[in-house]
Amino acid sequence: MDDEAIGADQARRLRAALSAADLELGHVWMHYFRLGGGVSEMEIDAYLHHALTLPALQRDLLTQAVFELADGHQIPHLPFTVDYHIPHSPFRVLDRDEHPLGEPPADPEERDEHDPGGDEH
Amino acid sequence: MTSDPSVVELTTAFARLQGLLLDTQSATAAVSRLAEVARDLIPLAVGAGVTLIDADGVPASTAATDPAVEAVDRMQYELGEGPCLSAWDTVSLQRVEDTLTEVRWPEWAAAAAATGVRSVLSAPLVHREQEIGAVKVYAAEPDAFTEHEEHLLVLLATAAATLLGAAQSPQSVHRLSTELKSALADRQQVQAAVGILMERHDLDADAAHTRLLVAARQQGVPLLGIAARVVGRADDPRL
Repeated sequence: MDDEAIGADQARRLRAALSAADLELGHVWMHYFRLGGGVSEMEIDAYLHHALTLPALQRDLLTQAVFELADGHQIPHLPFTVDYHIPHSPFRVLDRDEHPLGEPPADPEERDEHDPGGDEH
Repeated sequence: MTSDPSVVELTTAFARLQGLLLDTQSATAAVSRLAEVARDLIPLAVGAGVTLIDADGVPASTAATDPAVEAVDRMQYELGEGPCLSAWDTVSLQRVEDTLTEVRWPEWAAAAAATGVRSVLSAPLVHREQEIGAVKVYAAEPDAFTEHEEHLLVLLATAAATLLGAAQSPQSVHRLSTELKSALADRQQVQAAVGILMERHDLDADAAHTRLLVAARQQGVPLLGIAARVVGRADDPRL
């Protein structure tokens, strides 16, 4: 997978996550800016719609911003660029089943099928 | 991002734009600073202006870097024609290559040429699909602006619109500046952590930033938490 294909896959996942967590782009941009992001909201918008490519770090910062803001929502797995290069990267495997920021969902209805919450029933 | 000069220029301008909203208490002062940022971002520009319009499309606050620009701007509203009005109508960037040969707005172009303005770029300020104004730069030479300047002005306009969109009342300026202050403090904390990791591991800035991201994900901690840990406890063995 070349860098352009990786970026496109990340963008597709991010769009799905924004939609699933009902995140507004301006809000996401501000958090991305907090984390050190360096491109404008318009460029982020263009990237998400495959009209612009972004360097790996900018994509990963955006990924982390969405990941953190989507805490408590079910969203697609959001890999960093390095995860595409190291298929067995330990944190990628960890990440697949963990909840954002490692905290259990506040609302039981939001738990996914991988969540080991069975002994409550 | 350092490989793309236009992004470097924009980032610098953008940092100043953040600063302007921290320091100003009114939208008028903010647009005045934005006009200066636009002029400095585009070295060929001899002047720049910013207009914010209210919900009815009436200019609410305007600012220009010099009186000639202000006069050229004001003529548009008096004559009812000009690149900024078209920028609003079409929600697109307008470029005037030479006011002496411009035929779309003949009266305004002639008046502008008489004041020494030969080329113009005007970009709409759009926030949440609502037009809130326009930012424009002027040059004394014809054909002064290329696609490069267009690109820069559009990026600046977009960033500015995002920030100014909520800034049309004193209350919202205050709210926005509070959020921006905390955002900038967070950003500085991250950059400090990146600097520490660069030195500790002999990394470039992107690699150090990525290392922070990976650590945040692996440890299940927000990036800002990891950054605070690096800055506060310089010998964290996991980083």
